[in-house]
Amino acid sequence: MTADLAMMPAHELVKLFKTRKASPVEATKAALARIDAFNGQLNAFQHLDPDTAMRQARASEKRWKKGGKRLSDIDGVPITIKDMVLTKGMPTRMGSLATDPDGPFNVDAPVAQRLREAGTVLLGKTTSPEYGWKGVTDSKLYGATHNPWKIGRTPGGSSGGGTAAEAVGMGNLAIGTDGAGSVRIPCSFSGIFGLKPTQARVPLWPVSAQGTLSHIGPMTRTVRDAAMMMNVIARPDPRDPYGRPDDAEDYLKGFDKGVKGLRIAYSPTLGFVERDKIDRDVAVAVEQAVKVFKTLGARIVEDSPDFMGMDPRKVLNAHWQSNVALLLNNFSPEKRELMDPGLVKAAEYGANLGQEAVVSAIHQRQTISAIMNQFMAKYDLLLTPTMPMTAFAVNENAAWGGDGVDIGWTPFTLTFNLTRQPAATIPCGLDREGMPIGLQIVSGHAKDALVLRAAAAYERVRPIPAPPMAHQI
Amino acid sequence: MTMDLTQASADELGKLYRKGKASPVETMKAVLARAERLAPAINALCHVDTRSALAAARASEKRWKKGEPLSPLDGVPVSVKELVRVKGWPASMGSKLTDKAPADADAPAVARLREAGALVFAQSTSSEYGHKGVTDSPLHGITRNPWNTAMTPGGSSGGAGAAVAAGLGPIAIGTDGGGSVRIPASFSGLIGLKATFGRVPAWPPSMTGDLSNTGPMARTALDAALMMNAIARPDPRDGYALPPDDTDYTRKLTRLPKRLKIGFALRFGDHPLDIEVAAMVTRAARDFEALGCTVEEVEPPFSVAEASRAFVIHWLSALQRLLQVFPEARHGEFDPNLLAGAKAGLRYSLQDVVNAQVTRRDLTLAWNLFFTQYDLLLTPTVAVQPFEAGTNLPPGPDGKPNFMWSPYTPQFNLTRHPAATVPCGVSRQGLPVGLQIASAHYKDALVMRAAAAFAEAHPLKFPVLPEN
Repeated sequence: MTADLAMMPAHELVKLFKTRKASPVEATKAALARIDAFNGQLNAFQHLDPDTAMRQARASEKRWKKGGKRLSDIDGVPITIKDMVLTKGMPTRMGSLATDPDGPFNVDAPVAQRLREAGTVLLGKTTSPEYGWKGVTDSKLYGATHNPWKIGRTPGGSSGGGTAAEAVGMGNLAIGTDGAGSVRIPCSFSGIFGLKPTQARVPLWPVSAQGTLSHIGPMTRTVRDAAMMMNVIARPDPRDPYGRPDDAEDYLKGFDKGVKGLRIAYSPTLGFVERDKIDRDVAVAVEQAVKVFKTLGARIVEDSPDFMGMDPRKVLNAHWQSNVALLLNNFSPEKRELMDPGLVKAAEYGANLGQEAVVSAIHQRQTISAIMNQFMAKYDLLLTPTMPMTAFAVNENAAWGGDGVDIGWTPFTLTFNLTRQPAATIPCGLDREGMPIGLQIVSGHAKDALVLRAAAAYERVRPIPAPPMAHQI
Repeated sequence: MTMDLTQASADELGKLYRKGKASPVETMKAVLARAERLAPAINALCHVDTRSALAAARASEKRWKKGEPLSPLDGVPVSVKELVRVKGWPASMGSKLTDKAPADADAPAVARLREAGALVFAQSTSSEYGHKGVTDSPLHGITRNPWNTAMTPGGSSGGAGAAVAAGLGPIAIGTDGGGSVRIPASFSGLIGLKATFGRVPAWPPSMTGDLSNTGPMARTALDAALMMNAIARPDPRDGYALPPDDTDYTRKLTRLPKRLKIGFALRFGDHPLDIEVAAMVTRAARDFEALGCTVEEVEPPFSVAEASRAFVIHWLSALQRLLQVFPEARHGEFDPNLLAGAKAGLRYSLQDVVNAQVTRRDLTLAWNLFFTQYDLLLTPTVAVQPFEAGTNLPPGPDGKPNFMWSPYTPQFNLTRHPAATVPCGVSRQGLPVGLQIASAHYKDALVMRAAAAFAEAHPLKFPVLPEN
């Protein structure tokens, strides 16, 4: 029974809490048992605190007892949070040896605060590469995190600790961050669902080095769980300088309405990704997934935005490289010695970009956003592959043997960090080696609920499988 | 015709049309005639499209006759700043270097006003690319203030400010990247709003990016609110537009919510402040107590010097793109002030630019937290009174050029908070002085209500310039 609680979708788990067929203490024990069983191989946590988790679980258990007042619809659900997000009482190291291990760690970021107010049980902090700088998960601080679908492969990154944990039940819900794809890359590579919401819909603080490229989002094994999380975390907080209007959106409203009649664009290349860069199995699986949407009654049109010669990859590279150049200015030469050589190299690239190049990239970002907005005015949703490839070996900085300074190997995700649109990934098959493939679902700004609704419609006919490892307990 | 239609507000015009006491054609003809006669004195309009204005007026007249106006703004003449695209007109940007081919589409605000039936009749002057807070350009020369034609109407939307103050259309579209709606509205005795960034969709993306805002300028708060009802509607071309919210900006316009807590900051750091401006704005802030508010003196929550430096870096590094857009051989045709600024922008390092972005985020956070404590902030809109037309800077108390004459406005371009200006009286030399009202993000309607409540209690009488 306890093993099942750990892999159970949160929305079913809380039903058991309600009927007192299971308790937050049992659920937490189940998750901790899985951490004991799998974390040695996966290396998904930078910090674990079973005692505090059990204390939180017992407090939640009291609230679920007869006459108690639960704090939210996910009260008592075990969760994990990425090391990039400040959490009171737990270290936040940003995956870096150069940060102070002694803290103080005395304040919650908005998302951590909302989850605490909601009564969730925080198991620990999941791994990230240093400052989330690359789309894989390894760091000098913790070493490499592995993919639960195949040890020796990366889970993707930078939120790879969170996705590796989530895929095998080391926590029922997970929080990741996404500056160029860092929620969607690891969700795609690790075979789970993930949403990068509209920028600032989930408030972010302290201000990220990546500014408005940076997003925070849920990573879950079911779409409904992500919607339940959004109902908790997508609430305004004055600390986010880009905070959006309080729209009191209920992300579960209309959740089951399906996709019948929706106008959906399918873009296999997003208009700029070279076809020979897209793995054949990925292309086929995504095309099959698009057909599923068609059978569900959506009106599919193959169409791509025209970026008029601009390359979102170059625009994003200029943004993030110049941002990390500035970030690393905060560290002494001695501290830099402790940092990931790839990150230091990216900062050097950034520092050598001319000011004109960066200002021009900022302007191109606006133009790309305007083009995407006009494109989305014609469609309710856009479907693309999430990644051009599946998970590759650990300890590589990028796909195709790249050094990671060029983030262009994740073209489909980064475009929507530039444009700030909501974008989700949902598993849509396995490649010839049994590694997960992701389908990206994108909408216009603030239509996060529509993205969730479409993903849920797909999930109903193509449920998300767990990796074989998850059954080995 | 008993009344001078050029001096009527948009709201009054709509009422006259409804009762059949005036027609859009009569108004349009009166405004066109006045525009022609005042052109030499104030030089506010750089392109007047008489034919299409009259055609639009006739169409509007038919709608009113059938009792089917498109909106309360149907048949109201509106001018559009030359930085904002109007289909069929050149997007001249006050520059000799720009392509003068007719634009092939309306900017969102213009499209919305047309859909509302407004008569888009003229283009108003701007400094070149809106780069400075006064209005003269190599292309169109000097624009002057109807309150005193020796003085500047401010800028960069100075043509819009002068036009409305002079009765050349009761409403106008301006743009504000560092104060360019609020400065000229203040200098011309108007109400102007720089809404929360993204509230009024814009297109194409501005050179100054998300510092830039399209906004209404009007003689009355009600007219500005009517404009907001039209121009805040969604447009898919803006990648940064906020979700549509269907706010009716005229709702409860002159009634303030009870017990508002207001912060009043007379100074934004260390800068010269005109003694009359200080006195008038302080009195205006006190007058909010009579409206039922609590008013406390406050300090800005973040170093204004640091914020101002971040603003200048944002601004000049954006301007330097013009040096790449246009061939070097023609750079001599730029306004020398623009050229100097663009060249200065080129000298910033990448670190300066990214650092300025980080400062901007920290500044925004500080003001966000401020606005959790206070419903509204009051400041002077500009630290000086309107100064000599044709000069870029007013003289400081020491006689040297005063670079710090508009410290209050750019803050809220950096932070994207809504900020309006409302006139709080006329100085001894007969020049209008403005009060700036700012609030938390998305509370544009509250800012408008505060401006309207204050304006109702402190009406302003506009000078009527002789037409010859």
